[in-house]
Amino acid sequence: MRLHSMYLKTFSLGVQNSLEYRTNFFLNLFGAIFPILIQFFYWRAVFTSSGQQIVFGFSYNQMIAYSVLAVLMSKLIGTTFQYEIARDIKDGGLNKYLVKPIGYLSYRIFCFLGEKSVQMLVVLALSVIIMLLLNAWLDFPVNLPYILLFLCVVPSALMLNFFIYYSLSAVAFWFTEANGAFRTFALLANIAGGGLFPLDIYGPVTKAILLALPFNYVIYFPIRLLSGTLTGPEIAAGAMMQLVWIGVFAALSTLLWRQGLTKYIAVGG
Amino acid sequence: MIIEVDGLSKSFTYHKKELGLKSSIQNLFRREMQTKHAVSDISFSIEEGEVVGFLGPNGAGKTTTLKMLSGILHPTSGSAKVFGYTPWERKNEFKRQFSIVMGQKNQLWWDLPANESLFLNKCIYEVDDVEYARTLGELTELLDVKELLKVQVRRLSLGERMKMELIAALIHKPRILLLDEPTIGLDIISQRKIREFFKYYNRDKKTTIVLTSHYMNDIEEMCDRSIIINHGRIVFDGGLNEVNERLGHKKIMKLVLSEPVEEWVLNQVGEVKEFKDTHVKFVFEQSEIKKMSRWVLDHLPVIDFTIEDIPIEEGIALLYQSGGEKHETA
Repeated sequence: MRLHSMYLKTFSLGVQNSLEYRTNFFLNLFGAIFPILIQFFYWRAVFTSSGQQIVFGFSYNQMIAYSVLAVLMSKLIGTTFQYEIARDIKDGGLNKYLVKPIGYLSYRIFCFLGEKSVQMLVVLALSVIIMLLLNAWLDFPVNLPYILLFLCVVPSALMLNFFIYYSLSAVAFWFTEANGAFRTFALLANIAGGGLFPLDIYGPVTKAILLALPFNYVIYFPIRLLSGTLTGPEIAAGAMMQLVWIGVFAALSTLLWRQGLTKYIAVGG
Repeated sequence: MIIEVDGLSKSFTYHKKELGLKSSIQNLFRREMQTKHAVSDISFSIEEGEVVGFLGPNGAGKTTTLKMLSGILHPTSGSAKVFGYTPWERKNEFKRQFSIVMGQKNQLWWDLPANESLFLNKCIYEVDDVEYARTLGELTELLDVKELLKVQVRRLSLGERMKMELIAALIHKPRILLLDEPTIGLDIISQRKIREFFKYYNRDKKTTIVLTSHYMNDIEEMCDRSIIINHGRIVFDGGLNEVNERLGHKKIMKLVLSEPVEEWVLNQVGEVKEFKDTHVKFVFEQSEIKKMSRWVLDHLPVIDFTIEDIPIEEGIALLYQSGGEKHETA
């Protein structure tokens, strides 16, 4: 009960923190419009110049719908805490957590969920509006069971992404300045997860490799589910794999953090 | 004994970078690693309720020692016990009983009012509601910051923020309070207030306080005992007023003469510390006080003279200089 209140408070501080700078919050969301526009013009050009109805197995409408949803999904599960963690490690800010009777991991999870929750509500609301627009304009299938299933796999996608980046953040123990590594990784992970293009546009071998990696369960899988292109067993297998990967990365992060903390030199002050 | 430290050492490895861009580029490929012994083989023990100050120049190893006592750092060798726990095992039962405040770091959430962070600490340390309200009321009263609890931390002045940091550190009534440069960057009045607060708090709650500082005044006013540390070694452990005894009971004699005297004349008398026109300063053994005074008054055109103890600052500077050789004291 007591422990419960500690995490609840961390969660609530995360929420409050994300609401403290309102302009930043909305600009952040507003920024998502530009990648959407770029995708839109890009695919229009591709389809016009190819003169075909189907490109990489996608119709024009499907492609636009995928691209828009991929940008929103990337926004929905995106993390920035790895930069904070790296700074804490570099400047010695981690000290204040080490001396308190609180687990850093659980502190970070609840803080992340708190910060994310408001943004998620807004993004999800936006997604509903956009889906209705897509439906009216491009005949995007809006199907309640799929939407509900989608909402079930989003939390797993979020947690998987959390653990991937929490594991990654531990590299800051070894490379004191890790931001370059984070940016590169985020870019590659986004591409490998289908955040830029659907994985189908890569060759069959590349696609098979990417499907074997964890990243597609964060973006590609939920969107395909939402678009209604997956069968029941495929959905079950995907949801299962999400859990497996969460387990793998939770274990990995524990290992990396334990190793890293013995290297930690608590600089300054 | 609430804190026992035995043969504690900590060394860091780091790489050197020479001046300039060229060496930055060289550093990308090949780095010359070096080892720094931040703390070398220190031993001491502290009893419950004591206020002990670590004094030393920058880089002497004071902060490193505190970090090992709080479990943030693993030592390279040696052992330490705080309430019987080994700090760097980071047991929760251990963490609940102490607090550390770092003058240059903040634990409060920067963008939110301080009371949010305080409440988070309440939850983390499992302080019950009544207790929390009472402690918070008492501390805000003592530090005079009741009105500021709802202001975002980033809008507070340095002094105000320091007070909030202290409240955050004391909300669970720690038995040991570790303070790393608690008055750094504060103006003289805020420094004094914070010191008075610590003195009161120690008397009232019997909390053991271990602090580091390079401000003499901090240590002189608050601590019955100081551990002077230099180049990672303890050079002195005891009351500050005993620093002089450790230096061999030296005294300073200041003279004002009616006319200048040749320096060789003065050198006959004893060790001349300073000499400028008609003002002379001697350093001498306390046992020679009679002989010195008599000779000086008989042979020199004295119009005024005083005999004083060596000021503590100078005594400490002498200890710093004598450095590593004569560690292991008291």
